[in-house]
Amino acid sequence: MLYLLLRALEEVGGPAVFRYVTSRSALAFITGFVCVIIVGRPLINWLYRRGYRSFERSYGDINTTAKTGTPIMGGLLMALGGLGAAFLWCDLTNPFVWVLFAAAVYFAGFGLLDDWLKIRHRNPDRGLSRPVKLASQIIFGLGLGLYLAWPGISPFPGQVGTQIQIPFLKGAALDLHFGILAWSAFYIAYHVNAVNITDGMDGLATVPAILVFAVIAVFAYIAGNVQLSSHYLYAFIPRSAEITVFCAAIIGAGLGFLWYVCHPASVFLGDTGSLFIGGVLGTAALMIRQELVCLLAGLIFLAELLSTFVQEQVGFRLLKRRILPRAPLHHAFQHRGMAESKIVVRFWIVSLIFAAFALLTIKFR
Amino acid sequence: MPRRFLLTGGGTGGHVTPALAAAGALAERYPDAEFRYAGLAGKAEAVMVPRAGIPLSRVFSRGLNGAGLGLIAFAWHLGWGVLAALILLLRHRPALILATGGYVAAPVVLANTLLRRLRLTRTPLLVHEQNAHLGRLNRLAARVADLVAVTFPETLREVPAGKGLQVGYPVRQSCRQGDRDHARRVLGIPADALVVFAFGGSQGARSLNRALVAAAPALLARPDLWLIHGCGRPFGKNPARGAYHGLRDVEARLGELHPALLDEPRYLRRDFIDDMAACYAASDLVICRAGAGSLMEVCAQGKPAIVIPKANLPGDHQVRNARVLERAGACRVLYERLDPLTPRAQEPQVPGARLADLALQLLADAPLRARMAAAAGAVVTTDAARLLADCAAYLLGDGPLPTVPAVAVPTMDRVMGLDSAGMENLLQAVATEAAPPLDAAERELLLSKIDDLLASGSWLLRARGCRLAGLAGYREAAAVLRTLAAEDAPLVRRDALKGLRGLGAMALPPVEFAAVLGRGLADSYYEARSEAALTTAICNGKFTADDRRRLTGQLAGLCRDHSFEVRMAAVRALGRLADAPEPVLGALVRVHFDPVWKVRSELFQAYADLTERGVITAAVARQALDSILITANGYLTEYQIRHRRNEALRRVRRRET
Repeated sequence: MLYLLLRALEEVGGPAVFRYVTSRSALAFITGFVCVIIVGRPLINWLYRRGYRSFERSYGDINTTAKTGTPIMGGLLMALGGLGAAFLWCDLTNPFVWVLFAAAVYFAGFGLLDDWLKIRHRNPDRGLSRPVKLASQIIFGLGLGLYLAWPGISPFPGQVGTQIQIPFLKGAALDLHFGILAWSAFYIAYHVNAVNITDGMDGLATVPAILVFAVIAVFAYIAGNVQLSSHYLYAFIPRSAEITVFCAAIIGAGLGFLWYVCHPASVFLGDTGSLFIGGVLGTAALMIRQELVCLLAGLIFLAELLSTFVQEQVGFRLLKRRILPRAPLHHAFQHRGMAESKIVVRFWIVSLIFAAFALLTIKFR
Repeated sequence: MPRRFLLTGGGTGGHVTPALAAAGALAERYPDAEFRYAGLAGKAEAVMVPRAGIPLSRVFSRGLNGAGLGLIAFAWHLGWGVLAALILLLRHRPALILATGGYVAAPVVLANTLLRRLRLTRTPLLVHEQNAHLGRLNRLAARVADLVAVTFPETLREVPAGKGLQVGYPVRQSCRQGDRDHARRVLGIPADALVVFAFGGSQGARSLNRALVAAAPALLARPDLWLIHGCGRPFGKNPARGAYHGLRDVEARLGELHPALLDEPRYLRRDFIDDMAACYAASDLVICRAGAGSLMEVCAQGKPAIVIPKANLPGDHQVRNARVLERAGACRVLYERLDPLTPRAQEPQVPGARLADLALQLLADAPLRARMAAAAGAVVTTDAARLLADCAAYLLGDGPLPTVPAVAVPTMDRVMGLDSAGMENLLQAVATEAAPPLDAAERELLLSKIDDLLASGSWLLRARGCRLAGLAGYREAAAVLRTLAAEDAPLVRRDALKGLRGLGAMALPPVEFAAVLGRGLADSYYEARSEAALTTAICNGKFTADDRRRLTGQLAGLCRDHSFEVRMAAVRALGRLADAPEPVLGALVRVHFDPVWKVRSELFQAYADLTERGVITAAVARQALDSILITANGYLTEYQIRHRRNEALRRVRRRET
């Protein structure tokens, strides 16, 4: 909003600096961070007073009951800070921004509902049922896919909207045509569930998510810039640079949230947060048409989801035994006796490496 | 304008009988009353209702079992049923609806609720529950009902506050007490004989029939004992193929097991008993199922009974009925159970010997039977039908709410209605003293349920059964656990070994135990290996020297296992088991620098154990302890503030009590 205001001022002789994506990204980043820091303490207290507190259970040697009573729905904090900053500094006439806002509100809404149901029933198993959650993700994914593929409505030039870019291969792309609907539904559902499963320790999901957002921001900046995109041989996507500003706002808010969530946490993301992060992450990756690169950057999420799948479907259901010591992955380490803080930091380190690999694809082709 | 009443409920006769009894009482009170019954074609009500002279209106409904296709069929039938019921309600405009439970009542209850929400009608709903546990439909109906009449005071706990009233069960008039001597003359039984009357309902009950066949020789060995056995036959003229034919089954089994009894004059077998009243009147002891109908009939007759509740019904309602009466002192309960040692024999059984023992014990003790009979009589509300009619009159504004003497509502056994996961939670709570220990009756029921789990076709339930057997200290299951420890499903093997550990060192003879553990230590699944090692650790001092040496050798090898859990368990077990320094010390030295600190932390305990048991000298232990790597990437997190809070809560709570 400020963006539009300042652009209007520019007409009558105001500074032109706010026109640039870089300066607005920096401002959005700082605003997001500051917003969360300021709102954080009162919001956490409010959540606690309202009784939005976590129930923790003991699973044998993985006992988190000591964390019982920590406020949940902390995702609300991140969503408010991130969307607030994005609202101030993004170009609100930009279709990319609309889609991201829609995803954020949609998934944060479902997450809120889920958390609220769990609290109302005083039972962490009585939130939204698995089929309902999955249906909500698939419906959004299908809608997004339709938006990408629909000629005339899609904001992408030519075939870009339905193409999957293959990393490490120059100019290689797979055109899915309307298969993009299925891909998009799968991709969104994957991201939402993967982030949800990863969010099992203090700050475990936040930092890897921030890093993937950073990768997306870089790619959006390149794709939205005529010179850079032609220099790095990417398809130019007009107006997509605005995604950078949005990502910067989310990253700022994420760092602000990390302030509170780092071990020992004062607040948990809850499903509000994990659905919000996962949904926006998937949407942003699809909107910048770099799904596979983002998959690489967020390989931690894939490992977590895959470990759960293997354990439950292949192990328990098929072989009637455990395959991994515990699932998801972070619990396997915890089971070995590794302290939570150590696991979290090591996961951050690994995700940083993956993010570096993802950025490597810009040049290595 | 005549009063119109709509009756509904059914599926089985047990739901229909009370509705018809209430109709009789209502007809007395409102001579101009008109009745109509909403039910399904082809179910019990389709036979019983027209016979009582009440017109039957057809609705559609279906029980809900399972998900997927069953759910769709359920929704489809129920949808049509509600539509039919809406038309029925709008056409006939009943003054009151009496619903006696069963899924048959669902359409009318739902349609009436809908019409009342839309303010198109104000027809009150009266619900009657026959069992000691609200059925699935009645649980819903109780929320929209104006009054919920129940049979047992125990059920009041489950009814929304202020709506419940205990009226009892309207027993059929024909089943009131008859003349004993007359009945015996009719049946041709001497007046001084002891008569046992056993029946499993009109269609017969397989487990009851088979238990009786097994018990018959022991019972009939008593020369003054007569046995009347209602074996049952399939329902209707053209029964479905494969339907259970009680009499045929009983005759066949008798021919196979005790052919001499086929011609025994004191063993009267019938497929269907036309004159229940005479059989009741003639008998000294009744053996029956625990459906609310038959139980209340037996009680109305004032007869002591042995009750075999049907297992695994929704909410365990037969078990509940039986337990309510057992606690009142009116009957004794025997649980049927699956036999885990004959796998996949999916017929629950009652051991004939136990049935015979209990029956003979009761028959030998006349004062006890008299006390039971008196208690049985006290349970029955004689004017239940009239009370039910009074409730209806109250809802119609024609009279006061009937007053029933208030009774203290007893709590139910905690095991009742629990699924396997619930039982595991309960036992864990008992083990950690978060819940009081189980009493004898709770334990008896629990063990019968564990047997069912151990015999289950699902490996998941078998595994849980193993864990429960260990938690409950179910010694008699040790032989079953031994068999399951050699199963195909790895998690069952693990849990069988875990269960054996729960049963303790004396669960099996030492040589057998050593063989089971030896196999466990060589298992291909790592969790089974680690459970076996932990189980070995508790059997200290019980094995023969040979077995001990062999197991120690195996454990020493497991100190190099690729799974850290196995290494941990092996180290712990070696400390308890080894009685010579070699090969133990060599094996332990190899884990001094184990990458997983939890394995290394087990070493300390093991060395201390070995020193205390005199296997190694203190100097050797000291040197070893010094050389173990003590870095660790784990530690305990303690939130002091929560600790202080819990402490304060404890102090405050102490003040409260």
